Amino acid sequence: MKKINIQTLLVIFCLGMIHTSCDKGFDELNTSEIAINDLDPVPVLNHAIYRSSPHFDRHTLVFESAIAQQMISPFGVSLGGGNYNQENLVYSNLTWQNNYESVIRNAVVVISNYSDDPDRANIYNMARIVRAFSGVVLTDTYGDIPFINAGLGFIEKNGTPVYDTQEAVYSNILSELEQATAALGGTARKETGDILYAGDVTKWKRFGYSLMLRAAMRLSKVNPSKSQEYVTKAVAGGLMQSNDDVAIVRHSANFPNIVGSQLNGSEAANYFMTKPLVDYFQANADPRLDVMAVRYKGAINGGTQTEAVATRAPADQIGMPMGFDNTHCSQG
Amino acid sequence: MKNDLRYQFYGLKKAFYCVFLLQLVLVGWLPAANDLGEIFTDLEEKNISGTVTSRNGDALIGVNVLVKGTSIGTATDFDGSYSIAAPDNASTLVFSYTGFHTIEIEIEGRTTVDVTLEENVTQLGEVVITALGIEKSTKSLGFSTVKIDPEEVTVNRSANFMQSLQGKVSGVNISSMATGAGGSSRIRIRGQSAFAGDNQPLIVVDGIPISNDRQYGGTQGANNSDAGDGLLSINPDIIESMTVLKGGAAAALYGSRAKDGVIMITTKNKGKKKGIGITFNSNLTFDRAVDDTDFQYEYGQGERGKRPTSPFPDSGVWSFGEKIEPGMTQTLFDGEVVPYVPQKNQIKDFYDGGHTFTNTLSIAGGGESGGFNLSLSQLKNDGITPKSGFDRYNLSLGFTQDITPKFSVSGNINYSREIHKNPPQIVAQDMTTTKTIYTLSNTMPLYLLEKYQRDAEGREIIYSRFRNRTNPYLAINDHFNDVDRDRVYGNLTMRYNLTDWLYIQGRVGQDFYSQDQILNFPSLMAGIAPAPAGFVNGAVTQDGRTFREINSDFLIGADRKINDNFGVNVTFGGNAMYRRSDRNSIRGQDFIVPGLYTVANTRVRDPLYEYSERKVNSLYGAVELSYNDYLFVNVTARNDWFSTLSPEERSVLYPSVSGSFVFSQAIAGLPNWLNFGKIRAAYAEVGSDTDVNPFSQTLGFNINSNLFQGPTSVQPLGTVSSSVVPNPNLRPMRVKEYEVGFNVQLFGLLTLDFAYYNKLSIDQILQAAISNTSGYTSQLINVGESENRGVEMLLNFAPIRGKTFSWDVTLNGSYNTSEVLKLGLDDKDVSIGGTIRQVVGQPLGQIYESGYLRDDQGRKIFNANNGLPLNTSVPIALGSAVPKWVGGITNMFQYKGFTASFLVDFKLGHDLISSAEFDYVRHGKHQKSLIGRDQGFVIGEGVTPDGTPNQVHVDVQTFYEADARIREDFVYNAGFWKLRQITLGYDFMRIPGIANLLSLQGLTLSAVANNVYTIKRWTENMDPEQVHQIDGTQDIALPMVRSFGFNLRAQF
Repeated sequence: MKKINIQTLLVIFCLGMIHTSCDKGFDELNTSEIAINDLDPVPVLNHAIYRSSPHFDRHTLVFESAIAQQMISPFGVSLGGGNYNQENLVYSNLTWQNNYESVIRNAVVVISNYSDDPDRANIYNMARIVRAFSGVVLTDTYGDIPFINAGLGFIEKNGTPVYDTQEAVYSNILSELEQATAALGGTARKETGDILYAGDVTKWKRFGYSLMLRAAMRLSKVNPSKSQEYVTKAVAGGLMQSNDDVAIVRHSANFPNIVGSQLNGSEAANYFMTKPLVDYFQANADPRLDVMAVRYKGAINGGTQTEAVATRAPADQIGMPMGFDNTHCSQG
Repeated sequence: MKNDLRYQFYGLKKAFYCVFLLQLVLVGWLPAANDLGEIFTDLEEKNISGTVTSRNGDALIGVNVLVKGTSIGTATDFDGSYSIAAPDNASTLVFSYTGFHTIEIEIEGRTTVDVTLEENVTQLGEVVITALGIEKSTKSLGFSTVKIDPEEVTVNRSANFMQSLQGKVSGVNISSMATGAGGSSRIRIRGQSAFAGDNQPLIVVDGIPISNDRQYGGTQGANNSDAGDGLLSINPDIIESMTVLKGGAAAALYGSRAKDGVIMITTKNKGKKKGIGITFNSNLTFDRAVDDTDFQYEYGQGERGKRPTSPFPDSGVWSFGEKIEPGMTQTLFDGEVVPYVPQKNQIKDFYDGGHTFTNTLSIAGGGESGGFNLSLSQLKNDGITPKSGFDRYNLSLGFTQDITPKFSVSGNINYSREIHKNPPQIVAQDMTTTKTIYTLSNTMPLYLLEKYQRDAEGREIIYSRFRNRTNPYLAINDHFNDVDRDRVYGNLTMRYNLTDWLYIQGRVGQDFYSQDQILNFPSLMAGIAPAPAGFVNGAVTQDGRTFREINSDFLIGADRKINDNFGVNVTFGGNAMYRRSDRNSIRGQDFIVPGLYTVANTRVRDPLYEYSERKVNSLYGAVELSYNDYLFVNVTARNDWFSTLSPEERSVLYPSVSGSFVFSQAIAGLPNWLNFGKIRAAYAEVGSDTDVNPFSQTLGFNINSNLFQGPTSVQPLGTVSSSVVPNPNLRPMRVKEYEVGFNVQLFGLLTLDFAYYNKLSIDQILQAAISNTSGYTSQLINVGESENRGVEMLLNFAPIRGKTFSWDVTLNGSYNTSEVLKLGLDDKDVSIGGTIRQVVGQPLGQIYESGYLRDDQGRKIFNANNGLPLNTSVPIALGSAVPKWVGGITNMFQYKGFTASFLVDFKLGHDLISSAEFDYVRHGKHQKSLIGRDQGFVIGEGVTPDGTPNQVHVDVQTFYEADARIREDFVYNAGFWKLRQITLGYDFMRIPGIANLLSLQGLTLSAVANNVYTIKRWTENMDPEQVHQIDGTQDIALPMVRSFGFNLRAQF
């Protein structure tokens, strides 16, 4: 009896020691069974395209639509920004963050991984166009930006890319667009999974040249000769011909356009079209007004904005004056 | 080349351990080892027998009886009797028993030696459970430990028993969260040891670590509720003893799990008396919400100085209306005209009374060779938030059995079922009751809110233009969140005493739980976008988690006297830890059938599966040398191998050394009034095992769970999975700690324990920010350094100690201060964090927020055009969030069978930044927002940028909304003094003859009260403990709960 007990115990101890004495199996254990370590470039570029949608974040509502004097909130505090020419750090960096951490990060991974793969030359060049698109948004919003070496934090361990002048950024954008657009097509595989054009190289080329036109036009005052050079190249290359060529990010209920869901949800009663925009539409009998605008006649707050008092007649619409402060119109 | 050398060294070390282990295994096989005891039996001997009893005459079972100077020993049996064959020349017997003073009795030729053992009422000669469950006498310890009397958690109770200990344990900072009865606690020992993480001690039950992870009741953005922590599972009635190992040296044998100390819990595994004993404990407490607000009630609901006068006003959370005059009315909802009068009891009316009813039945058996303890417990809590509550069912079995005189088996198994019903949403914007109730306009009658929740079409009725201030009645009626957890933990231990000085022990334990959760976001809420046609909006989430941690360990211990002066105690062991957690979750959004909250009824579903898995293997050893029982030196080492680290960094060694000198015993001729005195010192290096995550060496991709619409087909989206660039050279952080201390007992009345410690935390993993223009936001590096230092004091004093009346005072206090030493590779890296920051040269947890822009003379500067206050361009230092002083004072009186105990506790020397007060100002409820209302405008007191006095008139509401954005004024001293507990008890056994009734062995009735009274606080409309976290930020959590009730304990 006694002996059996000792032996049992020793067996337990030996097992315990086999467990403890080594680190066998640790490498396998520390490799996730469900992680994706290698992914086709198409979904990765698709993600970059999806996140390049310019209306992706609230930055647009708080700053861009107000700076362009299209839509404003007359309420301050968290919605204060372009409407009152105020700083609002929570939202002013969102375009920066979204473009660098989503669009550029993923586009650059595709560019780096597929630069030498002739069969995937199309996805490589599509990624260069998407990166250039992001560059235009970034430099137009923020001026001088890190761009030429941006997005290489993991691949080249470059954690602090240098700032490039806006001039250098545009030079890079233009030459990238020129090379990438020209290189599309050929014998490389058609990337049918892309969410902009389903791999249609002709449409991608038109997108690339149209973007080149936009970028070149940005230089029309600071560098007219370069501007002219690239406008000429863009037109010669072939621009978008019809609405079928438009680069559309197809937001859906699963991937809502944040601007839309904000305006239909929590900020529904807090945003108004601006007076300059409504006045312009009315003065020019613009047909977009009755599509875009609704007025709840007599409504004094969100709760009384009901369909029963809604009017979409262009003549009834009133724009919110720029800079108008808060709820002077509210009756409590 | 460097790497190669390192690898060789690593290989050698590994080989060394393997050989060492092999030797130990072989030694274990030596047949002689278990026969050593018999060698001594050949000497001439005589039989000595007797009984051992306690002072009140109870037979003591299992008392160790030893013939002094030999290894001949036995233990008392069931009746307290023993019989020992002592050599003829033996002169002294030694009787030792846990919880009693060890005594030596001269045999003087007798054959019968009866002994009465004195219970060890002071800590001094006590035995405590130290790391790995090893029992040691307190005087041998070179570090600070605290023993906690289980009575502290079983009479004046909390659902989470740790909360009952707040203010009672020297050097241990316990905080209860204002998140509901089933909420979590926070425990900090010797400060915040790292910038990141919980910094909570390891919890060990019967030698096996268990999880104390916090459970969140919500997973989606708008859900933030507290579903307790690992300690919440424990039924306090099964606790036999509890020890806090405070410092690194005390906890050193836990190596990488030891940086925040250890709470060692030993559960009951046998009855204290012979035969079967039954204990029944019943506890009923009533909970009441405490209203700490002091709002203004002069101006009622409304904005811009106007009260609501037409239907459906949306100013329901603003009190910027008109001055309240007698006879005024207001129009609310669909035209209800009601008096415009203050509603001062919104908080107390909404948070109705809760109660907690706990019943425990324990059956314990004791015998000569073993025993058991079976405990069944039920806790039912009805929370102060309507429709919320927490139920817990516990079933625990502990047992111990000697199979042979040398071989024993013990173990315990604990099952708990924890059911959280709607743990309140805290700090969330939607579906929280607290934020709405506290910001609700001060003239809004609650009954109208209850009446107008949804319109005829089922849509939320808007009463506030802040749409995420959900109507609190709608939130409690339509939002549900159920968290159920089943947990089983326990262990099985086998111990074999090879000789009376050498044992081997094997132990395996597991902590396993499975947690299911279902929660919804109700349909047709105004604050979220409508669903596509054919659906109603809303969401439901089902979430399943499992957790498993297995620890298998072995221990070999030897304890020998080398000669009359020297003793040596050697322990060697190893542990294999495996931990895995899995989470399986699915969220469905937009419903087909309104009101049917199941995933199958949804339009779009987001599945999630994730898991985490790690192993840590360890070997450890300890050597204690003692000299004449008054000088002790203890050296330990533990080596851990981590699965989560790269092979080069995988092996880490954690050493410690400590010493104790009992000078009262060593030095002759000390004055009589010095009953006991010892000094101690210790140094240890310990660490953390969780700061490097599994699978963190690689960077992969994630695939979005929904497909994206392309021009012709739907397509997957994939993205680089992390914003953090992996660093293969990461290693766990390390704490280097030394402590010195002393313990004296004077005049038989006063005990003082004092400790000083210095705790240096190095190699803390920080997210070294890289520019996000690199596509990534950070890289993890081992760079952070910080230091905690402080003193701990425990004073026990008995001003009166008589036969019928006694008065005991226990005072515990600790002072901790910290300093951030290093935050980056560059000297310019002086600060990390946002509102709560770490700043080099400052204590941990600095509060930084925007302040008022001021001129040279300190006058506030206002915008010359709009008259609004200007803020500093960068956040400024406003306070320090970590308490410096923590402690408590207990006064306990005993008179005949009555006891009365009063606990006053305090935390001092820290600040908090209150989002609640910010809300109260901008919603017009704060008294501060009254200034200027009578004249209809505010003129900010200060100057315009050119230095002229500000004279701009600003609309009242506009001013306070802007003013509130500057957070400077919302930083408060977070200190407090509270009368935390009152316990009044009567021991009915003092009534003559009562013992014969129902063969009662004990009957105690206590009246208990908790959170009785706040003696001092510095905050305005809140309690400084009305928080859901301890980082120094505060948002509107549940009101404080004052509870009172009764505890009845009967023993048969």
